[in-house]
Amino acid sequence: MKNLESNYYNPVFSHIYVEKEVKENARTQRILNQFPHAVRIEIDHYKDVFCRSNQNYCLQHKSQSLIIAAKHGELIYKGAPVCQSFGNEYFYYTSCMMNCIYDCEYCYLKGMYPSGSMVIFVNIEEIFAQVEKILEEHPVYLCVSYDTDMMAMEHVTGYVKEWVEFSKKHENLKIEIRTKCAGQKIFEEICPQENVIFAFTLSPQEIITRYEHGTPPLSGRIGCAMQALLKGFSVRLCFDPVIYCTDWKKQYEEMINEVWSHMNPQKIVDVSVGSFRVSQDYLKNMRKSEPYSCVVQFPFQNDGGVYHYPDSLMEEMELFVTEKLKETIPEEKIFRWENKEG
Amino acid sequence: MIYIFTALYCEAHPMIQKFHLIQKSEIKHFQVFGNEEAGIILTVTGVGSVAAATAVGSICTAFHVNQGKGEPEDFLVNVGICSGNISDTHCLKETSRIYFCNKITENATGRTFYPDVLYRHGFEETEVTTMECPVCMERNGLHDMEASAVYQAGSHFFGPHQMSFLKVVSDNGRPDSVTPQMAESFIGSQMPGISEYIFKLSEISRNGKKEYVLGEEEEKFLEKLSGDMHCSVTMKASLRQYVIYGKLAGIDYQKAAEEMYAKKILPCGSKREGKLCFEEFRKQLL
Repeated sequence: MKNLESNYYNPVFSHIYVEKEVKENARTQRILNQFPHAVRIEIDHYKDVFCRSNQNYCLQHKSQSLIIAAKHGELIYKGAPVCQSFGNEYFYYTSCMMNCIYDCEYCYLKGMYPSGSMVIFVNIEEIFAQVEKILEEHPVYLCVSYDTDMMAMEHVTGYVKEWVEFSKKHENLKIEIRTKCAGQKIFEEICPQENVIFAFTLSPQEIITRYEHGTPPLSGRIGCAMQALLKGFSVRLCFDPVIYCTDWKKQYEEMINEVWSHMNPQKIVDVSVGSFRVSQDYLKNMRKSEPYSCVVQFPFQNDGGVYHYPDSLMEEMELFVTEKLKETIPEEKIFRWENKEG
Repeated sequence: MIYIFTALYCEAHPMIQKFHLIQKSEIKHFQVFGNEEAGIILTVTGVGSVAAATAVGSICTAFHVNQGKGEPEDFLVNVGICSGNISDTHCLKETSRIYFCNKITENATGRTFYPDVLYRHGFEETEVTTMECPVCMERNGLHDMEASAVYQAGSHFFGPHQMSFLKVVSDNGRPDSVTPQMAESFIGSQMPGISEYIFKLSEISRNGKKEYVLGEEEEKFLEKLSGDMHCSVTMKASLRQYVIYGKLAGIDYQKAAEEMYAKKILPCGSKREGKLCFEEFRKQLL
């Protein structure tokens, strides 16, 4: 018998579920080799574990398991109305991973997925093939890191590199890799490409400390974005979601000042601004699983199935951040999310 | 509360002794033992899937498992003997080894079930296959007769993070050779580990107490406030959300309301006044 330790929870990725179909896959083996002490459990299908009933997302996230699987069927989805298209006509997203190692209280994944386990789909070639099929018809703007933070898992998957390589072969493909990560090593290992945008989500340090658990500090994210710029990569800054707190004006003003004190606004591809919004079904689940979270228990307004801050507050917050950004960055580079369906 | 299920009395006996469990004579159809102070209920289900599922369903219903908000979290633990041959990893030379099951396969249907393994434990992990009848041959892996049924019945009451399956190897494909005394001895030999795990779950259960955001007094205050504002059902739900947010954000919503009472804005004379009053209250909070 080994002794039970004072900490209740098993470490992250102490248990790895592997679909039979992919157990011999080279990527699977590479991932498994990084966790030699993990307990491996063979499964028939990832949904056997991921879609069990009565799972507790928040508890599972404290001892996050990894599921290695293959995804079939439709792998490329049209961009959701709550997401910013940045003026791109053919806006799509894909998920070669599900769930995130970070633990942001307001994250919609907590309302969208039944499980806190992370899934990595190792048949990324099938996703590439479907993208190529769409590219035969028209250009594609594809967000590849929506339902996860791919950069934060790069040391495990190597997917950022693979997407960059894939994009190199397709001029009419533009990809966005969204992240809160501060790891700069990747920029030493890949070459800059115009059609690959690294999008850094920035929040005031106060918001990070209160709600974005386990994420790098603002200074780390700014440092990472600066390194990307220095190496010649396309960088987008996302002030999205803007989160309400009593002194939000002070918090966001200080953050924007901090950002521009380090970064040259001229070098930024564009910026996005949007206050927190989420579908009503997701918020219902989030409120149930996080009853004590101030950020998800905010009394939002529901318009057409999307919860957002009350109109006047939403307008005030987004305008304030936009106007502040306009002081240093041309208006045409600022994209503010608008609910076209609301 | 920790709900322990064993198939046989001889499996249960070491736990009845260790946890000082007393038979609950008010339950007629199964042998049930409990210790309220320790927060443990143990049920002897009988052998096989039907008996196990029936017992889990009845006991969980009778004890209102995981239904009491404001109560500590409940856990299910299935403890029992099994046939075992773990020749894949190491040659099993002796019986009475204990395993924590992370995968359960139902032999009859091929269905698989995965209890979460969120909490640290001191056992080796493996999978178990639940058979319809005793396994009288050498087969690789663990084989029992209840786990899949306990999981399926239990999943109506517990989440996968609340169910644990501990199996002690009693034989290597010759269950007929296992006497009740041997079964008791096998489980007994693993009691230090089993009891340590059960106590750990008890601690987690107590610490995981699901308290309401609003206390009793705050609920009364909310009730009065919504009455004085002539709230409709929808408006009351919205008011509740503001009050919950106010409490979590550290905003003194009671003071805001009391000031409105002092200014005679509250109580309102009509629904129309109530709506205006609610608007004023919202402004105070944001």
